Amino acid sequence: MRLGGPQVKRSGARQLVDVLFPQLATRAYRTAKMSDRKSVFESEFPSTLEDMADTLRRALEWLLDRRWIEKGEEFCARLCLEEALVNAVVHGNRGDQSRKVRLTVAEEGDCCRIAICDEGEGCCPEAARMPDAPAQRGRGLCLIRHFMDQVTYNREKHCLEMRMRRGAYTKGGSRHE
Amino acid sequence: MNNEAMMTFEEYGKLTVGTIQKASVLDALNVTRFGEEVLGHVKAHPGVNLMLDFHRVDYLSSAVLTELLRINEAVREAQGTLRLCSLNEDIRKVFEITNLNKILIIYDALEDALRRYARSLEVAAQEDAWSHVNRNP
Repeated sequence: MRLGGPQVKRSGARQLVDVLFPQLATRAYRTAKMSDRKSVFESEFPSTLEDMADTLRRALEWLLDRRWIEKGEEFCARLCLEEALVNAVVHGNRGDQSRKVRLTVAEEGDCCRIAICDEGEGCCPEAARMPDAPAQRGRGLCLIRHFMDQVTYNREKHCLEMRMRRGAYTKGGSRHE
Repeated sequence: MNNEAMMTFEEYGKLTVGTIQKASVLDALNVTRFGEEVLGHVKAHPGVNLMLDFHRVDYLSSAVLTELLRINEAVREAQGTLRLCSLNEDIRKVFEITNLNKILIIYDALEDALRRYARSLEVAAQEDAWSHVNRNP
């Protein structure tokens, strides 16, 4: 399932509260947003695969600690993170070590937002389809699109943004089909 | 990176099994090494019938898929054949999503894979012999 936009799904009870007490709902939402700011993993690194691997390892540890993924069931999240980070290092920044890659992983309600920004010339991920020819690139992005709930690309910021829901990547979760 | 080989190659009759020994993770960091070792073996053994055994591999990224396609091309150019076996559930899924399961032939566990691989080579040899007879009656 892909979400149509960056909205966060709410339970029926929460929706009822939103309708009956909109001011309370807004205040609760603001409080949640403030506390969410603490729940962020950020890393900026030069465009080398070694630095990328270090950031990937730490980001996965963070996702495990925060229970977005379970031990032994990291495959999908690891794959999506690595594909996006390698794209930023190799294709975005073209391995230029003076250019940085920035990874932000932020909790937003029952979604986890993962943003990978590079300092390259930008690309057109929306146009990416599963390659037919063996030599073609683009399989990584197609895998990300398959496993993540939402994938968008900000051309101005050169940022690939993806969202995953809690529990969707564990055995029996909807993304672990 | 240490100099110890990532791969081992063992012969089983007409088949060679290449096992990834030193990595449970195949990714952008070690894919070059993996490709070099396999392509080196293919180059040194023209016509090799190579089975790559992934039973020790827990994870691979798309960089490895691209490398496997390169290896497949090299094996075919050297008049050989390539098969894969013992992929875990997650890795099999990646092959299905990327449609590589339609390009590369994938078997289950090694023992059954060797039997099926040997049988497929026998059938191919028989078909080749028949087509030769039909061409030169």
